[in-house]
Amino acid sequence: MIQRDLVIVGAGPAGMAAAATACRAGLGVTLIDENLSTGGQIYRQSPAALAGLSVPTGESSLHGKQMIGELESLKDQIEWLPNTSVWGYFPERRLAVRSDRGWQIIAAKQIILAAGAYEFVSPFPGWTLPGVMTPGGAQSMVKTMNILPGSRILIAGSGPFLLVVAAQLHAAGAEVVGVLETARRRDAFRHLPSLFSYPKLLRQGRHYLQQLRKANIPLHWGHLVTSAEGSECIENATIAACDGNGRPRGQASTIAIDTLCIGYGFVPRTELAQMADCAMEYCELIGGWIPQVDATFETSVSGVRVAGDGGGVAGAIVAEIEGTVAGLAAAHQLGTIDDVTYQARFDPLAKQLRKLRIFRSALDRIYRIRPGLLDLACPDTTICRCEEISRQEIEEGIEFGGTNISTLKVITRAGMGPCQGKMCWPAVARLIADKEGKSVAEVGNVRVRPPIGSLAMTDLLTELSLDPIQEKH
Amino acid sequence: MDATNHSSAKDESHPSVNADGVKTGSGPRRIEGNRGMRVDFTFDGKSIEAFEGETIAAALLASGGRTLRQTERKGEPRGLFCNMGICFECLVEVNGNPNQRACQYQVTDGLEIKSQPADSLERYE
Repeated sequence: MIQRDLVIVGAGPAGMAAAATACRAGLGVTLIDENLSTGGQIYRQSPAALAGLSVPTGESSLHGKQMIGELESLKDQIEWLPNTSVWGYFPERRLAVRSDRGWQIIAAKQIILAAGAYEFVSPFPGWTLPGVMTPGGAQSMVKTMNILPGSRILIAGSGPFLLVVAAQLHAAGAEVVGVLETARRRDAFRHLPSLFSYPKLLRQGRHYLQQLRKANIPLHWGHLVTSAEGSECIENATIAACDGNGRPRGQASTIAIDTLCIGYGFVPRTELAQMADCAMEYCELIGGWIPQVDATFETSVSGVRVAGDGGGVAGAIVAEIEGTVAGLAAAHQLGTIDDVTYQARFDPLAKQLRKLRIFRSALDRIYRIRPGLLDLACPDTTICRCEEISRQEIEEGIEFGGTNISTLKVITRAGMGPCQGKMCWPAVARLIADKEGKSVAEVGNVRVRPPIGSLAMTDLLTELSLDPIQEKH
Repeated sequence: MDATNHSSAKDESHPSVNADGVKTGSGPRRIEGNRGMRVDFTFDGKSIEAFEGETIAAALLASGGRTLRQTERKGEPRGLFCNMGICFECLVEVNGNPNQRACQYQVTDGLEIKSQPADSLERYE
Protein backbone atom coordinates (compact mmCIF):
# COMPACT_ATOMS: atom_id res chain seq x y z
CA MET A 1 0.00 0.00 0.00
CA ILE A 2 1.36 3.37 -1.02
CA GLN A 3 1.31 6.03 1.65
CA ARG A 4 0.41 9.46 0.25
CA ASP A 5 1.77 12.64 1.77
CA LEU A 6 -1.65 14.26 1.92
CA VAL A 7 -5.14 13.01 1.14
CA ILE A 8 -7.89 15.61 0.91
CA VAL A 9 -11.54 14.59 1.08
CA GLY A 10 -13.82 17.03 -0.72
CA ALA A 11 -13.04 19.31 -3.67
CA GLY A 12 -15.07 22.36 -2.71
CA PRO A 13 -13.42 25.69 -1.88
CA ALA A 14 -11.62 24.32 1.22
CA GLY A 15 -10.38 21.15 -0.48
CA MET A 16 -9.32 22.93 -3.67
CA ALA A 17 -7.41 25.60 -1.75
CA ALA A 18 -5.73 22.96 0.41
CA ALA A 19 -4.77 20.89 -2.63
CA ALA A 20 -3.28 23.78 -4.59
CA THR A 21 -1.42 25.14 -1.55
CA ALA A 22 0.00 21.79 -0.44
CA CYS A 23 0.95 20.78 -3.96
CA ARG A 24 2.88 24.03 -4.49
CA ALA A 25 4.51 23.49 -1.12
CA GLY A 26 5.91 20.22 -2.40
CA LEU A 27 3.52 17.57 -1.07
CA GLY A 28 2.20 14.63 -3.06
CA VAL A 29 -1.52 15.33 -2.95
CA THR A 30 -4.50 13.05 -3.54
CA LEU A 31 -7.82 14.88 -3.90
CA ILE A 32 -11.05 12.89 -3.61
CA ASP A 33 -14.63 13.94 -4.36
CA GLU A 34 -17.95 12.17 -4.84
CA ASN A 35 -18.73 14.39 -7.80
CA LEU A 36 -17.41 14.15 -11.33
CA SER A 37 -15.72 17.51 -11.20
CA THR A 38 -14.13 19.90 -8.71
CA GLY A 39 -15.98 22.88 -7.25
CA GLY A 40 -18.03 21.31 -4.48
CA GLN A 41 -21.62 22.44 -4.12
CA ILE A 42 -21.00 26.18 -4.30
CA TYR A 43 -18.83 26.15 -7.42
CA ARG A 44 -20.44 23.06 -8.89
CA GLN A 45 -19.67 22.69 -12.58
CA SER A 46 -22.01 21.64 -15.35
CA PRO A 47 -21.22 18.33 -16.99
CA ALA A 48 -19.15 18.83 -20.16
CA ALA A 49 -22.14 18.12 -22.43
CA LEU A 50 -24.10 20.97 -20.83
CA ALA A 51 -21.22 23.37 -20.30
CA GLY A 52 -22.32 25.59 -23.19
CA LEU A 53 -25.41 26.68 -21.29
CA SER A 54 -25.18 29.14 -18.51
CA VAL A 55 -27.49 30.95 -16.16
CA PRO A 56 -26.21 34.31 -14.95
CA THR A 57 -24.43 33.68 -11.68
CA GLY A 58 -22.15 36.42 -10.45
CA GLU A 59 -18.95 37.39 -8.80
CA SER A 60 -18.56 34.39 -6.55
CA SER A 61 -18.93 31.89 -9.37
CA LEU A 62 -16.24 33.75 -11.34
CA HIS A 63 -13.95 33.28 -8.39
CA GLY A 64 -14.90 29.60 -8.32
CA LYS A 65 -13.95 29.27 -11.98
CA GLN A 66 -10.58 30.82 -11.18
CA MET A 67 -9.97 28.31 -8.40
CA ILE A 68 -10.99 25.43 -10.63
CA GLY A 69 -8.68 26.70 -13.38
CA GLU A 70 -5.80 27.02 -10.94
CA LEU A 71 -6.26 23.45 -9.82
CA GLU A 72 -6.51 22.36 -13.44
CA SER A 73 -3.06 23.83 -14.07
CA LEU A 74 -1.68 21.50 -11.37
CA LYS A 75 -3.43 18.42 -12.70
CA ASP A 76 -0.21 16.62 -13.61
CA GLN A 77 0.98 16.90 -10.03
CA ILE A 78 -2.21 16.16 -8.10
CA GLU A 79 -3.79 12.73 -8.02
CA TRP A 80 -7.44 13.57 -8.64
CA LEU A 81 -10.04 10.91 -7.84
CA PRO A 82 -13.47 12.11 -9.01
CA ASN A 83 -16.69 10.15 -8.57
CA THR A 84 -15.08 8.52 -5.56
CA SER A 85 -16.58 8.31 -2.11
CA VAL A 86 -14.84 7.68 1.17
CA TRP A 87 -16.83 5.13 3.13
CA GLY A 88 -14.62 4.65 6.13
CA TYR A 89 -11.76 5.93 8.25
CA PHE A 90 -9.45 3.44 9.90
CA PRO A 91 -6.53 4.25 12.17
CA GLU A 92 -3.80 5.37 11.48
CA ARG A 93 -4.99 7.74 8.79
CA ARG A 94 -6.29 5.13 6.38
CA LEU A 95 -9.31 5.90 4.22
CA ALA A 96 -11.49 3.31 2.51
CA VAL A 97 -12.57 4.68 -0.87
CA ARG A 98 -14.64 3.36 -3.69
CA SER A 99 -15.63 4.38 -7.18
CA ASP A 100 -17.02 2.64 -10.23
CA ARG A 101 -13.45 1.50 -10.87
CA GLY A 102 -13.26 -0.44 -7.62
CA TRP A 103 -12.27 0.16 -4.06
CA GLN A 104 -9.11 0.41 -2.03
CA ILE A 105 -7.57 1.62 1.20
CA ILE A 106 -5.49 4.77 0.92
CA ALA A 107 -3.01 5.53 3.69
CA ALA A 108 -1.84 9.07 4.30
CA LYS A 109 0.74 10.90 6.35
CA GLN A 110 -1.67 13.83 6.56
CA ILE A 111 -5.41 14.07 5.96
CA ILE A 112 -7.57 17.12 5.40
CA LEU A 113 -11.31 16.53 5.66
CA ALA A 114 -13.17 19.16 3.65
CA ALA A 115 -16.53 17.44 3.37
CA GLY A 116 -18.71 20.56 3.38
CA ALA A 117 -22.23 20.83 4.67
CA TYR A 118 -25.80 20.03 3.71
CA GLU A 119 -29.01 21.95 4.21
CA PHE A 120 -31.13 21.71 7.32
CA VAL A 121 -34.88 21.63 6.84
CA SER A 122 -36.91 21.71 10.03
CA PRO A 123 -39.83 19.26 9.63
CA PHE A 124 -43.30 20.70 9.05
CA PRO A 125 -46.58 19.27 7.76
CA GLY A 126 -46.29 18.51 4.04
CA TRP A 127 -42.49 18.74 3.82
CA THR A 128 -42.27 15.33 2.17
CA LEU A 129 -44.46 16.33 -0.81
CA PRO A 130 -42.80 16.32 -4.23
CA GLY A 131 -42.13 19.93 -5.20
CA VAL A 132 -40.78 20.77 -1.74
CA MET A 133 -37.02 20.90 -2.01
CA THR A 134 -33.95 22.58 -0.60
CA PRO A 135 -32.84 25.96 -1.99
CA GLY A 136 -29.44 24.47 -2.79
CA GLY A 137 -31.07 21.63 -4.67
CA ALA A 138 -33.07 24.07 -6.78
CA GLN A 139 -30.01 26.22 -7.34
CA SER A 140 -27.89 23.38 -8.62
CA MET A 141 -30.73 22.18 -10.85
CA VAL A 142 -30.66 25.61 -12.48
CA LYS A 143 -26.90 26.21 -12.42
CA THR A 144 -25.62 22.83 -13.53
CA MET A 145 -28.56 21.30 -15.43
CA ASN A 146 -30.18 24.48 -16.75
CA ILE A 147 -33.53 23.15 -15.69
CA LEU A 148 -36.04 25.10 -13.64
CA PRO A 149 -37.57 23.00 -10.85
CA GLY A 150 -40.90 24.82 -11.21
CA SER A 151 -42.51 27.97 -12.48
CA ARG A 152 -44.16 29.48 -9.41
CA ILE A 153 -41.69 29.25 -6.59
CA LEU A 154 -41.77 30.32 -2.95
CA ILE A 155 -38.47 30.50 -1.11
CA ALA A 156 -38.50 30.20 2.66
CA GLY A 157 -36.35 29.44 5.66
CA SER A 158 -33.44 31.45 6.92
CA GLY A 159 -30.13 32.86 5.78
CA PRO A 160 -28.62 35.06 3.09
CA PHE A 161 -28.38 32.05 0.77
CA LEU A 162 -32.15 32.34 0.18
CA LEU A 163 -31.62 35.73 -1.49
CA VAL A 164 -29.00 34.30 -3.83
CA VAL A 165 -31.26 31.44 -4.87
CA ALA A 166 -34.24 33.77 -5.34
CA ALA A 167 -32.23 36.04 -7.64
CA GLN A 168 -30.91 33.10 -9.67
CA LEU A 169 -34.27 31.38 -10.08
CA HIS A 170 -35.78 34.69 -11.19
CA ALA A 171 -32.96 35.30 -13.68
CA ALA A 172 -33.58 31.83 -15.09
CA GLY A 173 -37.22 32.66 -15.76
CA ALA A 174 -39.12 31.38 -12.76
CA GLU A 175 -41.79 33.43 -11.07
CA VAL A 176 -40.45 33.80 -7.55
CA VAL A 177 -43.52 34.76 -5.54
CA GLY A 178 -41.54 35.79 -2.48
CA VAL A 179 -38.85 35.09 0.07
CA LEU A 180 -39.91 34.34 3.64
CA GLU A 181 -37.14 34.93 6.16
CA THR A 182 -37.76 33.65 9.68
CA ALA A 183 -35.42 36.25 11.17
CA ARG A 184 -37.04 39.60 11.83
CA ARG A 185 -35.78 42.80 10.28
CA ARG A 186 -34.91 44.08 13.74
CA ASP A 187 -32.62 41.06 14.28
CA ALA A 188 -30.69 42.12 11.19
CA PHE A 189 -30.52 45.76 12.30
CA ARG A 190 -29.26 44.81 15.75
CA HIS A 191 -26.21 43.11 14.21
CA LEU A 192 -25.70 45.54 11.35
CA PRO A 193 -22.67 47.27 12.96
CA SER A 194 -20.77 43.97 13.07
CA LEU A 195 -21.58 43.38 9.42
CA PHE A 196 -19.60 46.51 8.53
CA SER A 197 -16.50 44.60 9.64
CA TYR A 198 -16.36 43.00 6.20
CA PRO A 199 -17.74 45.56 3.72
CA LYS A 200 -17.17 43.34 0.70
CA LEU A 201 -19.60 40.71 1.94
CA LEU A 202 -22.05 43.33 3.13
CA ARG A 203 -22.04 44.80 -0.38
CA GLN A 204 -22.75 41.36 -1.80
CA GLY A 205 -25.78 41.05 0.46
CA ARG A 206 -26.99 44.49 -0.57
CA HIS A 207 -26.52 43.56 -4.22
CA TYR A 208 -28.86 40.59 -3.85
CA LEU A 209 -31.41 42.67 -1.94
CA GLN A 210 -31.37 45.18 -4.79
CA GLN A 211 -31.83 42.44 -7.36
CA LEU A 212 -34.88 41.20 -5.49
CA ARG A 213 -36.31 44.71 -5.34
CA LYS A 214 -35.69 45.23 -9.06
CA ALA A 215 -37.47 41.97 -9.81
CA ASN A 216 -40.38 42.91 -7.53
CA ILE A 217 -39.81 39.85 -5.37
CA PRO A 218 -41.08 40.65 -1.89
CA LEU A 219 -38.83 39.75 1.03
CA HIS A 220 -40.88 39.15 4.17
CA TRP A 221 -38.78 39.25 7.34
CA GLY A 222 -40.28 37.46 10.34
CA HIS A 223 -42.37 35.08 8.24
CA LEU A 224 -42.36 31.36 7.72
CA VAL A 225 -44.10 28.46 6.00
CA THR A 226 -46.21 26.57 8.51
CA SER A 227 -47.37 23.79 6.17
CA ALA A 228 -47.43 22.59 2.58
CA GLU A 229 -50.53 21.08 1.03
CA GLY A 230 -51.21 19.05 -2.09
CA SER A 231 -52.20 15.58 -3.17
CA GLU A 232 -49.46 14.31 -5.52
CA CYS A 233 -47.30 17.46 -5.40
CA ILE A 234 -47.25 20.69 -3.46
CA GLU A 235 -50.10 22.97 -4.56
CA ASN A 236 -50.25 25.46 -1.69
CA ALA A 237 -48.12 26.72 1.14
CA THR A 238 -49.61 28.16 4.30
CA ILE A 239 -47.61 31.10 5.57
CA ALA A 240 -47.66 33.23 8.69
CA ALA A 241 -45.75 35.93 10.50
CA CYS A 242 -43.66 34.69 13.42
CA ASP A 243 -42.20 35.96 16.66
CA GLY A 244 -38.54 36.02 17.65
CA ASN A 245 -38.68 32.35 18.63
CA GLY A 246 -40.03 31.30 15.25
CA ARG A 247 -43.56 30.72 16.56
CA PRO A 248 -46.34 31.68 14.14
CA ARG A 249 -48.59 34.53 15.20
CA GLY A 250 -51.58 36.29 13.66
CA GLN A 251 -53.60 35.24 10.67
CA ALA A 252 -52.18 32.56 8.38
CA SER A 253 -52.70 32.80 4.64
CA THR A 254 -52.39 30.42 1.72
CA ILE A 255 -50.46 30.86 -1.48
CA ALA A 256 -50.68 28.71 -4.61
CA ILE A 257 -47.26 27.56 -5.84
CA ASP A 258 -45.76 24.60 -7.66
CA THR A 259 -42.41 24.61 -5.86
CA LEU A 260 -41.30 25.43 -2.34
CA CYS A 261 -37.58 25.86 -1.70
CA ILE A 262 -37.01 25.71 2.03
CA GLY A 263 -33.87 25.60 4.15
CA TYR A 264 -32.82 26.86 7.58
CA GLY A 265 -29.09 26.90 7.11
CA PHE A 266 -26.50 24.15 6.95
CA VAL A 267 -25.26 21.14 8.90
CA PRO A 268 -21.54 20.23 8.74
CA ARG A 269 -20.71 16.77 7.39
CA THR A 270 -18.58 15.27 10.11
CA GLU A 271 -18.94 11.49 9.67
CA LEU A 272 -15.28 10.92 8.85
CA ALA A 273 -14.04 13.12 11.68
CA GLN A 274 -16.32 11.20 14.05
CA MET A 275 -15.14 7.88 12.68
CA ALA A 276 -11.56 9.04 13.19
CA ASP A 277 -12.51 9.65 16.82
CA CYS A 278 -11.80 13.38 16.69
CA ALA A 279 -12.98 15.17 19.83
CA MET A 280 -16.23 16.97 18.98
CA GLU A 281 -18.05 19.94 20.43
CA TYR A 282 -21.57 21.27 19.97
CA CYS A 283 -21.79 24.75 18.42
CA GLU A 284 -25.42 25.46 17.64
CA LEU A 285 -24.72 28.68 15.73
CA ILE A 286 -22.41 27.08 13.17
CA GLY A 287 -24.47 24.01 12.49
CA GLY A 288 -24.23 21.62 15.46
CA TRP A 289 -21.53 19.07 16.25
CA ILE A 290 -18.09 19.98 14.94
CA PRO A 291 -14.56 18.68 15.54
CA GLN A 292 -12.41 20.67 17.95
CA VAL A 293 -9.45 22.15 16.10
CA ASP A 294 -6.32 24.21 16.80
CA ALA A 295 -5.22 27.31 14.87
CA THR A 296 -3.99 25.12 11.99
CA PHE A 297 -7.31 23.21 11.91
CA GLU A 298 -5.73 20.04 13.26
CA THR A 299 -8.18 17.91 15.22
CA SER A 300 -7.43 15.93 18.36
CA VAL A 301 -6.18 13.17 16.03
CA SER A 302 -2.63 13.89 14.93
CA GLY A 303 -2.29 14.67 11.23
CA VAL A 304 -6.05 14.92 10.65
CA ARG A 305 -7.31 18.41 9.84
CA VAL A 306 -10.79 19.67 9.09
CA ALA A 307 -11.33 22.72 6.88
CA GLY A 308 -14.34 24.54 5.49
CA ASP A 309 -18.02 24.13 6.31
CA GLY A 310 -17.42 20.54 7.45
CA GLY A 311 -15.71 22.00 10.50
CA GLY A 312 -18.45 24.55 11.22
CA VAL A 313 -20.50 26.43 8.66
CA ALA A 314 -18.94 29.75 7.62
CA GLY A 315 -19.25 29.93 3.84
CA ALA A 316 -16.94 29.71 0.84
CA ILE A 317 -14.56 32.59 1.59
CA VAL A 318 -13.74 31.29 5.06
CA ALA A 319 -13.52 27.74 3.68
CA GLU A 320 -10.93 28.77 1.12
CA ILE A 321 -8.72 30.44 3.72
CA GLU A 322 -9.08 27.52 6.14
CA GLY A 323 -8.15 25.13 3.35
CA THR A 324 -5.09 27.22 2.54
CA VAL A 325 -4.01 27.24 6.19
CA ALA A 326 -4.60 23.50 6.54
CA GLY A 327 -2.62 22.79 3.36
CA LEU A 328 0.27 24.95 4.55
CA ALA A 329 0.24 23.37 7.99
CA ALA A 330 0.30 19.87 6.51
CA ALA A 331 3.34 20.81 4.40
CA HIS A 332 4.99 22.44 7.41
CA GLN A 333 4.37 19.36 9.52
CA LEU A 334 5.96 17.13 6.88
CA GLY A 335 8.89 19.50 6.59
CA THR A 336 8.54 20.65 2.97
CA ILE A 337 8.34 24.30 4.00
CA ASP A 338 10.46 25.90 6.70
CA ASP A 339 9.26 27.70 9.82
CA VAL A 340 9.90 31.20 8.47
CA THR A 341 8.05 30.68 5.20
CA TYR A 342 5.21 29.01 7.02
CA GLN A 343 4.83 31.75 9.61
CA ALA A 344 5.01 34.48 6.98
CA ARG A 345 2.12 32.94 5.10
CA PHE A 346 0.13 31.82 8.12
CA ASP A 347 -0.07 35.16 9.96
CA PRO A 348 -1.99 37.21 7.36
CA LEU A 349 -4.41 34.34 6.76
CA ALA A 350 -5.10 34.00 10.48
CA LYS A 351 -5.70 37.74 10.66
CA GLN A 352 -8.16 37.60 7.76
CA LEU A 353 -10.02 34.74 9.46
CA ARG A 354 -10.34 36.74 12.68
CA LYS A 355 -11.86 39.62 10.73
CA LEU A 356 -14.28 37.34 8.93
CA ARG A 357 -15.27 35.71 12.20
CA ILE A 358 -16.82 38.98 13.42
CA PHE A 359 -18.93 39.18 10.27
CA ARG A 360 -19.85 35.51 10.27
CA SER A 361 -20.83 35.39 13.90
CA ALA A 362 -23.19 38.35 13.36
CA LEU A 363 -24.81 36.45 10.48
CA ASP A 364 -25.03 33.32 12.62
CA ARG A 365 -26.89 35.28 15.28
CA ILE A 366 -29.28 36.95 12.84
CA TYR A 367 -30.15 33.69 11.14
CA ARG A 368 -29.99 31.32 14.12
CA ILE A 369 -32.38 28.38 14.21
CA ARG A 370 -35.40 29.38 16.30
CA PRO A 371 -36.69 26.92 18.90
CA GLY A 372 -40.33 27.37 17.81
CA LEU A 373 -39.72 25.90 14.36
CA LEU A 374 -39.92 22.38 15.71
CA ASP A 375 -43.44 23.05 16.99
CA LEU A 376 -44.61 23.29 13.39
CA ALA A 377 -44.35 19.49 13.21
CA CYS A 378 -47.69 17.94 14.23
CA PRO A 379 -47.98 14.51 15.89
CA ASP A 380 -48.47 12.85 12.49
CA THR A 381 -45.76 14.86 10.69
CA THR A 382 -42.94 12.69 9.36
CA ILE A 383 -39.63 13.41 11.10
CA CYS A 384 -37.48 10.58 9.71
CA ARG A 385 -38.17 10.71 5.98
CA CYS A 386 -36.43 7.43 5.14
CA GLU A 387 -38.19 5.21 7.67
CA GLU A 388 -41.37 7.33 7.79
CA ILE A 389 -41.35 7.87 11.53
CA SER A 390 -43.74 10.52 12.82
CA ARG A 391 -43.22 13.00 15.61
CA GLN A 392 -45.67 11.06 17.77
CA GLU A 393 -43.75 7.81 17.24
CA ILE A 394 -40.52 9.57 18.16
CA GLU A 395 -42.01 11.10 21.30
CA GLU A 396 -43.40 7.71 22.32
CA GLY A 397 -39.94 6.28 21.75
CA ILE A 398 -38.42 8.92 24.01
CA GLU A 399 -40.98 8.09 26.73
CA PHE A 400 -40.09 4.43 26.29
CA GLY A 401 -36.50 5.22 27.22
CA GLY A 402 -34.98 6.51 24.00
CA THR A 403 -33.38 9.49 25.68
CA ASN A 404 -30.28 9.46 23.51
CA ILE A 405 -30.10 9.22 19.75
CA SER A 406 -28.69 5.70 19.54
CA THR A 407 -31.31 4.18 21.85
CA LEU A 408 -34.11 6.09 20.16
CA LYS A 409 -32.87 4.80 16.82
CA VAL A 410 -33.14 1.22 18.03
CA ILE A 411 -36.62 1.78 19.47
CA THR A 412 -38.15 3.73 16.58
CA ARG A 413 -35.92 3.09 13.52
CA ALA A 414 -35.54 6.88 13.13
CA GLY A 415 -32.19 7.44 11.43
CA MET A 416 -31.80 3.85 10.21
CA GLY A 417 -32.62 4.58 6.58
CA PRO A 418 -30.29 5.18 3.65
CA CYS A 419 -29.56 8.84 4.53
CA GLN A 420 -28.06 7.48 7.77
CA GLY A 421 -29.87 10.07 9.84
CA LYS A 422 -28.57 13.18 8.09
CA MET A 423 -32.06 14.49 7.41
CA CYS A 424 -33.66 13.77 10.79
CA TRP A 425 -31.04 13.82 13.54
CA PRO A 426 -30.91 17.59 14.02
CA ALA A 427 -34.68 17.54 14.63
CA VAL A 428 -34.64 14.28 16.61
CA ALA A 429 -31.94 15.59 18.96
CA ARG A 430 -34.00 18.72 19.57
CA LEU A 431 -37.13 16.66 20.25
CA ILE A 432 -35.24 14.62 22.86
CA ALA A 433 -33.78 17.80 24.38
CA ASP A 434 -37.23 19.43 24.63
CA LYS A 435 -38.85 16.40 26.17
CA GLU A 436 -36.05 15.68 28.63
CA GLY A 437 -35.43 19.30 29.55
CA LYS A 438 -31.80 19.06 28.43
CA SER A 439 -29.68 20.99 25.97
CA VAL A 440 -29.01 19.43 22.56
CA ALA A 441 -25.33 19.18 23.57
CA GLU A 442 -26.34 17.11 26.60
CA VAL A 443 -28.42 14.77 24.44
CA GLY A 444 -25.19 13.86 22.71
CA ASN A 445 -24.10 13.05 19.21
CA VAL A 446 -24.88 10.06 17.09
CA ARG A 447 -22.37 7.24 16.67
CA VAL A 448 -21.03 6.85 13.15
CA ARG A 449 -19.85 3.53 11.78
CA PRO A 450 -18.58 2.48 8.37
CA PRO A 451 -19.77 2.39 5.70
CA ILE A 452 -20.79 5.96 5.02
CA GLY A 453 -23.45 5.62 2.35
CA SER A 454 -24.60 2.27 1.09
CA LEU A 455 -22.11 -0.40 0.16
CA ALA A 456 -23.00 -3.78 -1.30
CA MET A 457 -21.16 -6.80 0.08
CA THR A 458 -20.54 -7.87 -3.49
CA ASP A 459 -18.66 -4.58 -4.06
CA LEU A 460 -16.23 -5.61 -1.35
CA LEU A 461 -15.97 -9.24 -2.41
CA THR A 462 -15.58 -8.89 -6.12
CA GLU A 463 -14.20 -5.53 -7.05
CA LEU A 464 -11.07 -5.73 -4.95
CA SER A 465 -9.65 -8.61 -6.91
CA LEU A 466 -11.12 -7.68 -10.28
CA ASP A 467 -10.56 -4.02 -10.80
CA PRO A 468 -8.89 -1.95 -8.11
CA ILE A 469 -8.28 1.74 -8.68
CA GLN A 470 -4.97 2.12 -10.48
CA GLU A 471 -2.19 3.22 -8.22
CA LYS A 472 -0.37 6.27 -9.48
CA HIS A 473 3.40 5.87 -9.36
CA MET B 1 -57.08 19.73 -1.37
CA ASP B 2 -59.77 21.49 -3.32
CA ALA B 3 -59.75 21.56 -7.09
CA THR B 4 -59.70 25.34 -7.54
CA ASN B 5 -56.39 25.70 -5.78
CA HIS B 6 -55.01 22.85 -7.78
CA SER B 7 -55.75 24.53 -11.08
CA SER B 8 -54.62 27.98 -10.02
CA ALA B 9 -51.11 26.64 -9.51
CA LYS B 10 -50.89 24.93 -12.84
CA ASP B 11 -53.08 26.67 -15.37
CA GLU B 12 -50.59 29.25 -16.59
CA SER B 13 -49.69 27.16 -19.58
CA HIS B 14 -49.07 30.07 -21.97
CA PRO B 15 -45.43 31.09 -22.02
CA SER B 16 -44.85 34.78 -21.30
CA VAL B 17 -41.91 37.08 -20.74
CA ASN B 18 -40.88 38.61 -17.41
CA ALA B 19 -39.64 42.15 -16.79
CA ASP B 20 -36.06 41.16 -17.67
CA GLY B 21 -37.13 39.66 -20.99
CA VAL B 22 -36.65 36.09 -19.81
CA LYS B 23 -39.22 33.54 -20.92
CA THR B 24 -41.46 32.20 -18.20
CA GLY B 25 -43.91 29.35 -18.41
CA SER B 26 -45.53 26.58 -16.47
CA GLY B 27 -44.03 23.79 -14.40
CA PRO B 28 -40.48 22.51 -14.37
CA ARG B 29 -38.75 22.95 -17.71
CA ARG B 30 -35.47 23.25 -19.57
CA ILE B 31 -34.05 26.74 -19.90
CA GLU B 32 -33.55 27.63 -23.56
CA GLY B 33 -30.17 27.06 -25.18
CA ASN B 34 -28.26 24.52 -27.20
CA ARG B 35 -27.92 21.22 -25.48
CA GLY B 36 -25.77 18.20 -26.03
CA MET B 37 -26.73 15.01 -27.77
CA ARG B 38 -30.29 13.81 -27.43
CA VAL B 39 -30.68 10.58 -25.47
CA ASP B 40 -33.85 8.62 -24.74
CA PHE B 41 -34.71 6.48 -21.78
CA THR B 42 -37.85 5.01 -20.32
CA PHE B 43 -39.51 5.69 -16.98
CA ASP B 44 -42.06 3.04 -16.03
CA GLY B 45 -42.21 2.10 -19.70
CA LYS B 46 -42.88 5.64 -20.93
CA SER B 47 -40.29 7.10 -23.31
CA ILE B 48 -38.59 10.25 -21.98
CA GLU B 49 -36.50 12.72 -23.94
CA ALA B 50 -33.26 13.81 -22.33
CA PHE B 51 -29.90 15.30 -23.19
CA GLU B 52 -26.40 14.11 -22.57
CA GLY B 53 -25.04 15.34 -19.24
CA GLU B 54 -28.41 15.49 -17.50
CA THR B 55 -29.05 13.46 -14.40
CA ILE B 56 -32.04 11.12 -14.26
CA ALA B 57 -33.62 13.49 -11.74
CA ALA B 58 -33.09 16.50 -14.01
CA ALA B 59 -34.48 14.80 -17.11
CA LEU B 60 -37.53 13.46 -15.26
CA LEU B 61 -38.15 16.87 -13.71
CA ALA B 62 -37.95 18.56 -17.14
CA SER B 63 -40.47 16.04 -18.46
CA GLY B 64 -42.86 17.22 -15.75
CA GLY B 65 -42.65 14.14 -13.56
CA ARG B 66 -42.12 15.10 -9.96
CA THR B 67 -43.10 11.93 -8.14
CA LEU B 68 -40.21 9.49 -8.30
CA ARG B 69 -41.44 6.79 -5.94
CA GLN B 70 -44.03 5.76 -3.38
CA THR B 71 -42.85 5.16 0.17
CA GLU B 72 -42.80 1.61 1.47
CA ARG B 73 -44.69 2.09 4.69
CA LYS B 74 -47.35 4.69 3.96
CA GLY B 75 -47.38 4.76 0.17
CA GLU B 76 -46.73 8.51 0.05
CA PRO B 77 -45.37 10.20 -3.08
CA ARG B 78 -41.78 11.41 -2.87
CA GLY B 79 -39.65 13.41 -5.27
CA LEU B 80 -36.36 15.21 -5.56
CA PHE B 81 -35.42 16.89 -2.26
CA CYS B 82 -31.73 17.75 -1.71
CA ASN B 83 -30.41 17.16 -5.26
CA MET B 84 -26.92 16.53 -3.92
CA GLY B 85 -26.94 12.86 -3.01
CA ILE B 86 -27.52 13.29 0.72
CA CYS B 87 -31.21 12.59 1.37
CA PHE B 88 -31.85 9.44 -0.72
CA GLU B 89 -35.41 10.58 -1.51
CA CYS B 90 -34.97 10.26 -5.27
CA LEU B 91 -34.31 6.51 -5.29
CA VAL B 92 -35.27 4.73 -8.52
CA GLU B 93 -34.59 1.37 -10.12
CA VAL B 94 -32.09 1.63 -12.99
CA ASN B 95 -31.80 -1.33 -15.38
CA GLY B 96 -32.99 -3.64 -12.63
CA ASN B 97 -30.79 -2.20 -9.86
CA PRO B 98 -32.97 -0.69 -7.13
CA ASN B 99 -32.12 2.23 -4.82
CA GLN B 100 -30.13 4.34 -7.27
CA ARG B 101 -30.07 8.07 -6.56
CA ALA B 102 -31.66 9.79 -9.56
CA CYS B 103 -29.88 13.06 -8.72
CA GLN B 104 -26.44 11.46 -8.97
CA TYR B 105 -26.97 9.22 -11.98
CA GLN B 106 -26.37 10.59 -15.49
CA VAL B 107 -28.78 9.47 -18.20
CA THR B 108 -27.58 7.41 -21.12
CA ASP B 109 -29.45 6.20 -24.15
CA GLY B 110 -31.73 3.27 -23.49
CA LEU B 111 -31.75 3.29 -19.68
CA GLU B 112 -34.75 1.52 -18.25
CA ILE B 113 -35.86 3.33 -15.14
CA LYS B 114 -38.67 2.27 -12.86
CA SER B 115 -40.22 4.06 -9.94
CA GLN B 116 -40.05 2.15 -6.70
CA PRO B 117 -43.60 1.27 -5.66
CA ALA B 118 -45.05 0.78 -2.22
CA ASP B 119 -45.09 -2.95 -2.93
CA SER B 120 -43.65 -3.91 0.42
CA LEU B 121 -46.55 -2.33 2.27
CA GLU B 122 -47.75 -5.73 3.46
CA ARG B 123 -44.59 -6.14 5.50
CA TYR B 124 -45.82 -3.54 7.92
CA GLU B 125 -49.42 -4.61 8.27
